[in-house]
Amino acid sequence: MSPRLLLVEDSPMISGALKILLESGGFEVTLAQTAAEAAAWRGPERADVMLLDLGLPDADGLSVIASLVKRGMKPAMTFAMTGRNDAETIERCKAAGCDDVLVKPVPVQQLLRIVTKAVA
Amino acid sequence: MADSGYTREIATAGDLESQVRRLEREIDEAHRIIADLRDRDALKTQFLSNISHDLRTPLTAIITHAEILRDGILGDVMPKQKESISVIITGGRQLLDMIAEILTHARHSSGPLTLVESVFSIREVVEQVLALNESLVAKKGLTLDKKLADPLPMVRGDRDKVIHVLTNLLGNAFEFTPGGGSVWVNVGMQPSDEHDMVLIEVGDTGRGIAPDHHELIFREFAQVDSSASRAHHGTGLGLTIARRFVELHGGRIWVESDLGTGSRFFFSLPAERV
Repeated sequence: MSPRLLLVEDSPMISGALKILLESGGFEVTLAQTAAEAAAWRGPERADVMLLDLGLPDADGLSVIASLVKRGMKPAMTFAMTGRNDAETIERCKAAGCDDVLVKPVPVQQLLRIVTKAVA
Repeated sequence: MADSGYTREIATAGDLESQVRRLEREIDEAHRIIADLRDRDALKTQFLSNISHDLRTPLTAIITHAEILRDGILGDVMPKQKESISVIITGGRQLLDMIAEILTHARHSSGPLTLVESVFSIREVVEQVLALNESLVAKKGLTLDKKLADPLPMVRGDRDKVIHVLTNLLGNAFEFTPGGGSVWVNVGMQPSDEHDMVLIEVGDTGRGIAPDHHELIFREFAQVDSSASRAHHGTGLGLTIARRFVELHGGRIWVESDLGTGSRFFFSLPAERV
């Protein structure tokens, strides 16, 4: 069965590209454009990987993690995607439960390697 | 005669009072202008911050789509097409770097700048930044040397900001040094009156900077060649940000250079006392 990936990204221009990339890497991709959509992940099981944009239109992206934890649906691995890679942002992401922080735009081959390794 | 003296005194007191009132009005006006300028400056900073953020999204999409095309994920690509797509990606990443610089400047102009302090190894930072630039150095045909004093004390400061300064100085050195030239990083101690400071030098054998321009290059938005046709493009903020970061550490940044003799940039950072 293909690994399930929850892609949380509000820009269709970016999510469109990432969906093509991740599907080419064998992932079953579910897209959420808002924090509310991501928090409503229906599973039935938790996602294997979540790629989480921090700047969402309705809430701070990191709030999605707490919402999913509450429902026992926290993905096995969560990677934050952000334009900022300063120590403060990294610390905030780690504290919220992210496994790592990726700086946008992540080179596509690097992104594929990271998510593939995460589900290996 | 006594009367006229009295009148004169009253007139003088009246003049003084009216002068005081006039000065008070002028002070009020000056305060109003200062407040107005501050508001406008905050608005400009907010605008820069918003526009920089909004520019990043489409640019991220362009770069990601271009990489997908280049890597043949949507089908085979001819070598010449691949070359062309690679230029789109390189150009896009250059633009992103410039936007990041504007965003950093806007963020740090809008509020008090703070350091996220830790004690770290400057040796590791230098080695990390140099390793990241290896491929660029090879591509441009430059030689890159480093000389680190041994032992070197740890540095107390904001690691990210120090990396930012070093990356910026090295980026300039690579850009302004033609192929076949040399770039180097030397790290040693600079004894000063109160604290021991670590001194970092980034030098190159590039075109050099005329002494008249040594101050100008650290000024906001300043470029030695500000014409639209200039050969080197950038935001003119890199060294302004570098200076702000270094001074925030209690250090100093300066350049020693002349046209045709290459450049040596120096900056100092406080060493951790043991």
